[in-house]
Amino acid sequence: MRSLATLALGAALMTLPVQAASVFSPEEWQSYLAAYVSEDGRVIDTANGNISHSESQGYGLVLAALAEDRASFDRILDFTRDELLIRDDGLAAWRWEPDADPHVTDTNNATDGDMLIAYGLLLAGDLWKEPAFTEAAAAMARTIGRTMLVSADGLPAILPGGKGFAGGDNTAGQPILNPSYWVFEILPRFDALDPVIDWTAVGAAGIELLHRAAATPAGIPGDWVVLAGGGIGPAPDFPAEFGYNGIRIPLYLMRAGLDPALLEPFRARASSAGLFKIDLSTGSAIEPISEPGYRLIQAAMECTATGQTIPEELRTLQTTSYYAATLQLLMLDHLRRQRPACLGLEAKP
Amino acid sequence: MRWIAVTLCVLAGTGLGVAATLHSAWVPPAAAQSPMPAATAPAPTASGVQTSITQTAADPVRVAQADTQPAAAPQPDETALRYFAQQGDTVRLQREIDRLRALYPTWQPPADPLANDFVPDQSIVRIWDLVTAGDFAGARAAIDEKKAADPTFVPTADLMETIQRGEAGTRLRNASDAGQFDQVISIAANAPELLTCASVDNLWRLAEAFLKTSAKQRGIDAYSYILTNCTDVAERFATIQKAMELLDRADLTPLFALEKNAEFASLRLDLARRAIAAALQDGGASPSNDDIDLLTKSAEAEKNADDLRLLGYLHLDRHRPNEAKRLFEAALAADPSAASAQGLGVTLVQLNNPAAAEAALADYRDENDEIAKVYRDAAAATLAREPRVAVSETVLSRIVETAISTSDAGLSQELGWYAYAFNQPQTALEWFQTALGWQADLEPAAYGLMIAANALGNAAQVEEIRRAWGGRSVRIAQFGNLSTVSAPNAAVPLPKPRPAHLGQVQTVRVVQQQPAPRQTQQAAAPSGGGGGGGSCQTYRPPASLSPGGALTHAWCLMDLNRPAQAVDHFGRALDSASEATRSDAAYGRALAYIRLGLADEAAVAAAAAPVTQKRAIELQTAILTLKATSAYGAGNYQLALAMLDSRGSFAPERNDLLTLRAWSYYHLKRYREAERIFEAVAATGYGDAVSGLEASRSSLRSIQSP
Repeated sequence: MRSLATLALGAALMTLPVQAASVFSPEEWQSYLAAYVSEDGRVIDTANGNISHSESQGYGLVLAALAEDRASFDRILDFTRDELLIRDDGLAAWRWEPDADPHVTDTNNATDGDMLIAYGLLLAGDLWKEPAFTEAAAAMARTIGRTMLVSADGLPAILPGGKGFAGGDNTAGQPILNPSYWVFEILPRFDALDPVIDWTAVGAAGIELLHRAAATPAGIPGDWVVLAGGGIGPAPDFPAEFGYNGIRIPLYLMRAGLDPALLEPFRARASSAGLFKIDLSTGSAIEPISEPGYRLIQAAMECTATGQTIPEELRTLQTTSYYAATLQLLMLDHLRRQRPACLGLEAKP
Repeated sequence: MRWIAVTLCVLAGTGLGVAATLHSAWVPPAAAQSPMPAATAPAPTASGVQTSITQTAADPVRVAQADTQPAAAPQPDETALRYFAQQGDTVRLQREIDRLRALYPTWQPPADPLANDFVPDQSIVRIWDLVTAGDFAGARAAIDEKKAADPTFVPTADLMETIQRGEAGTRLRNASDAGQFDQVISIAANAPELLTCASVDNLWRLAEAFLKTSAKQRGIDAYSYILTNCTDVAERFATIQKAMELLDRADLTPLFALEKNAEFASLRLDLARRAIAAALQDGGASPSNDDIDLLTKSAEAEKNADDLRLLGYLHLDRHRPNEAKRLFEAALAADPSAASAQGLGVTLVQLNNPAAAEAALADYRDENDEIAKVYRDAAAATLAREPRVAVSETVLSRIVETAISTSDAGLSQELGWYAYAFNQPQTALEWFQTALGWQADLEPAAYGLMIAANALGNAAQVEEIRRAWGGRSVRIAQFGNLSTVSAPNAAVPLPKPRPAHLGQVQTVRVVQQQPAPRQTQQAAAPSGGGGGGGSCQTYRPPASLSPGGALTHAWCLMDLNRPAQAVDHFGRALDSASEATRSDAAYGRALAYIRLGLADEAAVAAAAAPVTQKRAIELQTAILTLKATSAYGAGNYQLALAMLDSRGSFAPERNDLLTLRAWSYYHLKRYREAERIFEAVAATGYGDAVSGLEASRSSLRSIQSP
């Protein structure tokens, strides 16, 4: 199983898109900036008390690079560097609150945020031929690879943060993991940057985790999980739910060009009514996840599986909330480049 | 040149890891294209480089707003150049000319840089406005905007350096606020231009980062740098204040040595104050005489009541009550307050002048709970003076008022003894009853009640008290039994067949001959080694002593066989932060209760803090011994036997206790068992068993014969 997964990831490496000109329209990118990015480069989580975090800054950097907007990239990076990249280890403090003093209210890191920041720097280094950005990304990738990986039931897994996830008696000593922290498209890039760390094996572990989840009643993993005895279960002290974290997994799978079969369990848990938070113990729906940005992920899965084109109203950015809009832009970026037919467009030459 | 020295020191002293690499990788490209002033030597002026660095930041703004000269698009921006010229800073003027020449080979510097013919570029003015407002992101955006509009535009080195320095300063502050001290050091090492007197906050934060990452000497060096080079008086003062928060006294010495014009005098006083306050903590080291002299001189000159009181308590703690009295009197004069009166009152009690203490405290006794307690202690000591002294009507009435308003059982009990001493047994009886009403388990009050009732000839009440208390108090159980030896821990009172009657008349007479039966009785039997008792002859309220001092005092009281007072002092010692002191206090308090014959209280006291196994066994044995003899005295022979059985698991039974056991059997009519034990004990030559043996045999015969 594991070797198959590795093969699948290896294949993905071959199909990763070579970045061409931005596929965002100036209007939709401007609307994203106007809605979520402040003058001083802070990417604001509007549904979450207008705080910022390493994840929002990381997404902002990635999107600014995909938008090929150097000025926005610079200001988002300035904020990220001056306000969050202040940890002794060079990773980002994860939480920044506008009304707190000091603004950083938790110096713990969030590893996906760190990975996204490094990835944004990598894309920017490629695009604008700035070795300084690439070097900075490499330094972060090295630190992440050396300090934020952990053995989980024998697999090389991504530790969600430096503190608080090592597990204990109630997890039989196994770490607590977040499957949506496997941003699959980043892993081959890190692998190339740092030969010491086997990031391909980390990617394979992420896929193994999805295979294990497929064998559970719900078929999909919880937002927070523990691996043990060849299986997977919800992490104690977290809701046993698939929710807003996990919703990113199919997006990341599609962007990385991984085996479409991996999408099937996620597709099966959606319905004509859309996506849902799922109770893992019963597999039943708890509440809908209904903003257009999320519904686009479902529609993209349908198109990938059946060729059904994506509804008109999901084809352009709708700035309902920071998180939904961010995922929608990442999904649109993929579809416009790789699957224009899903959007009713001619394939680009 | 000193500026460079510290820069090198910082750079050399940093273990640069990933973070430093990361940072150095992040020199923004726009800045990297421009010559960096930080890379060139700062102007070597004698007055200190850091000042000129500051001016760099502010220069071009003012120039840009003030000067006028048309600027053609391909022409370099002469804003900074004109400013340096106006300032007469020829070194920086030449450097700016060289820089512009390198960028614009065809450009000629103005013949007269001071000519008033310069029109400021409003877009540059706007950029500088943003920079000075701290909006570095806005400034970068404005630069990008200007570059887009004018592709030939190259921002000046000063501008880029100022932005970078501002951003690095932000990072340094954020990392410092987040406690990421390695990162602080790393940022400072990569941006030494941050480390100037003009931005002394950065230097303070760097010093803190060094000290918090175990690089103490570098931290001291950073403070020394400030005190050697920076001139702002308030900032120099704050520098020492910050150092005092983070460094030990010895490490502060070289920093104080950099004082100019006695600017740190008040901070030296602070240090002395801290040393003296620390000395008053449990186990605190003695302050130096210099510290004491320094603070005393200042306190007396300034009439600083806080300092006068602090010094007063120091002298009190060091057993110099006369000196303490002088200081507290000065404090009271400077600041007539509860705090001052309390110190004076405590001192006067220690000087064995409780009446003066009572008088000093009286006006403030309702101000807070602490002084109220000290007042009641002083009042109690005033009443208890030996030989007895009558107190004035005024004083007595306020003591009575206090006892009633605070429901103080101890003070009430003391009023009882006072009345008793002046032959008012009925009044005494009422006070003892009042005390017991407020604190039902107050044994001294019960004892007083018994004595007062006895003096009033109320035998029924005497016996009622004996019934109620006999099991808890040996002296109450054995009241009137003249053969009883006091100090029950020294030897268990020899048990006798419990007599039907006590020699009450005789007891009353004895008691009446001695106005203060409690004190007399206590003083009558000093148990071994009373020689060291001198230091606790005078009463000191427990609250006036440190826990450690109270412990010493309590043991001294035990030597004088004053267990009732020792209980309170051991209680104060239990407040200690030291586990050893608390353990010793719990042990001593339990011993004191045992000596008072209060077994239950002793058991509770023993549990107040962990004691050693050996002491626990000793206490347990003594408590059970006490319970056995009390039970026996109260006629509860089953209980006496049960207590002896329990005691047997801790220690072997001595002859006196074997005899007690045998008498218990005897009273339970288990004559055979009694006989067997009496026989065995008598065989060891223990004469007291002989009468028991005879009594047992006689009883056996009498039940066998009919």
